[in-house]
Amino acid sequence: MRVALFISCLTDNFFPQVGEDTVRVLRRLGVEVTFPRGQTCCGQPAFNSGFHRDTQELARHFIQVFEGSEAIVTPAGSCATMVRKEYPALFHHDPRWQRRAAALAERTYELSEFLVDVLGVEDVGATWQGRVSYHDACHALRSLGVREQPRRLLSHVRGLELVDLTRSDWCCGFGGSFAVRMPGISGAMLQEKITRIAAAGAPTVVTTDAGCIMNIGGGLRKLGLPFQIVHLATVLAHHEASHG
Amino acid sequence: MAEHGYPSQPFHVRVREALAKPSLGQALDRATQRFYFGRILTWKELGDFQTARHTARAARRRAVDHLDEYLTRLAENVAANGGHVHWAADAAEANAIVLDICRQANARVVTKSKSMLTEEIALNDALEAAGITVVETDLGEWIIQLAGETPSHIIAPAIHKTKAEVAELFSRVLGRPVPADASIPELTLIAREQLRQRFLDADVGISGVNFAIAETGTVSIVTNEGNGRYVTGLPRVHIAMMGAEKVIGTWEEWAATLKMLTRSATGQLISSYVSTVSGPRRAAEADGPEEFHLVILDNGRSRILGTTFRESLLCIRCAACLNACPVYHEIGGHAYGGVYTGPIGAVLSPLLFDFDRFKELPHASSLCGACRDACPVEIDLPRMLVELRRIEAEGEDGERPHAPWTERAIFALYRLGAQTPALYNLAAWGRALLKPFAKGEQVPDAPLPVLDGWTRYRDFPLPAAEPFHARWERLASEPVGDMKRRDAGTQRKKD
Repeated sequence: MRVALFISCLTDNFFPQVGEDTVRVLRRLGVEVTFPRGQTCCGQPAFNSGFHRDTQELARHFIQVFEGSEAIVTPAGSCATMVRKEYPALFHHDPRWQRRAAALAERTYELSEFLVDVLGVEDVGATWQGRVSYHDACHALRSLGVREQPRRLLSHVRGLELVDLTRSDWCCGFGGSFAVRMPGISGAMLQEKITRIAAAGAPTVVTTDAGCIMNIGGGLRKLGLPFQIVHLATVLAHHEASHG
Repeated sequence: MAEHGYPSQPFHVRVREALAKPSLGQALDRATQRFYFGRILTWKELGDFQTARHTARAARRRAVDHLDEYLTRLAENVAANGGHVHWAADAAEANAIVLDICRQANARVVTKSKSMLTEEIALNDALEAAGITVVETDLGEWIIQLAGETPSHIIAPAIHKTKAEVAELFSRVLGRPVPADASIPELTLIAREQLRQRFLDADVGISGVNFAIAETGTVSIVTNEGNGRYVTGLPRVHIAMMGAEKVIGTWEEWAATLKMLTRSATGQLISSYVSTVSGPRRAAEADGPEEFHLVILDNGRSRILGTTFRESLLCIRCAACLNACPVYHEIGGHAYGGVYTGPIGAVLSPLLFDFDRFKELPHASSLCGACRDACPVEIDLPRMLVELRRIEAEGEDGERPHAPWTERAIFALYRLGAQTPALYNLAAWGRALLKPFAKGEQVPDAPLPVLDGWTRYRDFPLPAAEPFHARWERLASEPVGDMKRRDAGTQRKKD
């Protein structure tokens, strides 16, 4: 099987290692990965801020770049949501583009749902020593229904013990521009998340979205707390032979 | 004094004050989380709760899609039962109608059961200005009436107050000491003593309406305190106040929707009291009012009907979206500045009242979607919040956009950058810009607009020295064989 990697702008620019980990996991499972050049941002920041005409232009660009791909896989749940749920509605006045958007939407997957639902794989052969908790990224969870897939993948990682995070589905307060537009509210939400992460006690939190990693990771570092947040792909790419 | 139903302070000030009040977090946490888990448990008890949601939604949709027909049928049946129907276009008309009925009845004391609609139109102020004594009889409403506040939650108006704060309020207002550690039953007993005589004194009782059943001209009220029955049954005159969208077609649809209302509101299979009132007392009946009036209020609802926001009229005011909302959880209801709070308030306030005075509310959401999942009639609240942001950013029907030009310019630049892969080199640009503020790979403090809000609570990562797209060539040439080494250990169910 051959998939096109949609890296997402946050992952590309801030967490390139997550992109590498995603590619390694997919390849290890025999999936051929391509990286369509010319891909940029899916337009979610503009969309969520209400600039839908600007978003349409970015969506058209995205569709042109990815249209030839058999399947599109991204390590970012909210970006997958954008393409799958928002693109078709974005072109409600334009049936031609709407058809193209809908065709693309059907073939776009968040990484963990691609692994579990499409490839039918739950054990990717990874090893990770220690306790981890799992934070549900909002869009992956509620827009794509990604709840069990990451947990199943984690349950097969050798050496890994999954511990409960209370209200793991409670938003961490990122929300894109929300975090800078409403810093006080966003910061208070982050504080609650961090309190629960500390209560769960596992040194590592796993999630499926670069936004949560940036937000929670930045908060943990600001407070100097001994917890780290990593992307699911990083855990899944990890095995004895790998560096780190 | 602040204009009723409108914020008296800018949004950021309201938020700052709410976040600075530690007792607010405690009070909200206890009550909203109890409601939240109560809803989840009682939805589960339904077994196939999705079907129950679809059924409730379909019932509400039929009513809203045929609003004129349903309202006409409702009005005909209320009249046939001997009741009077009054149509009010806006708050002023509704208040004038009620005042008129009260004057006709020579009313000096009016009792009220809980009604968000009367909060919406500031009915109490209008009646009191005319010299009528208004007594709220729902415990939460009575508390905020005594405190001179507006409700902070749709079903639990005084949810922002701790027990100790209520005890302090009672001491002050009633002029007798109430211990700070008084229990809820003790506080309730005080309210009961105070209110009992009022029920008997009242000339007119005013209630809200949870559902108005068109096929028989019946209004239905859902309460937990029994006060609703005193208000609707004891005084000579009963006035029921409803938003035009509260109509529902049949008793069967009422049952399907009621089932979702009590579960979603308080996590009860059924509330302590569900009253249904079909007009005034009849000849053979011993109890009930001599007169029954139904006031049907538009107040902006028909304007929403023809728009993409029509779905917001399906709302049954259960407040499940508030209890599920992490933003509401942090700031409470008063920060929303209007009568309706939480996610549904963030949608309704700009639509029903004043777009510009509530334009921050649609932004007060991380779009996490918890409200959509919690809504018993499946209202897509995040979609509507984004659509309100769109109207602000782009303007509606050739109107000028409300968003400042700076913000529009930022997104125009962003679009240009992201459309042009050559310009889309965020990492290099950002890294160069932020490098002077960085410690290692993190920016702990950035005295830059936009970013300073971020770094108040978090470090900001420096954009990567080598972004992913620059790594691809190297990654693509990595031998795959090595990576497949552990393939033997994987389980493949299908290809």
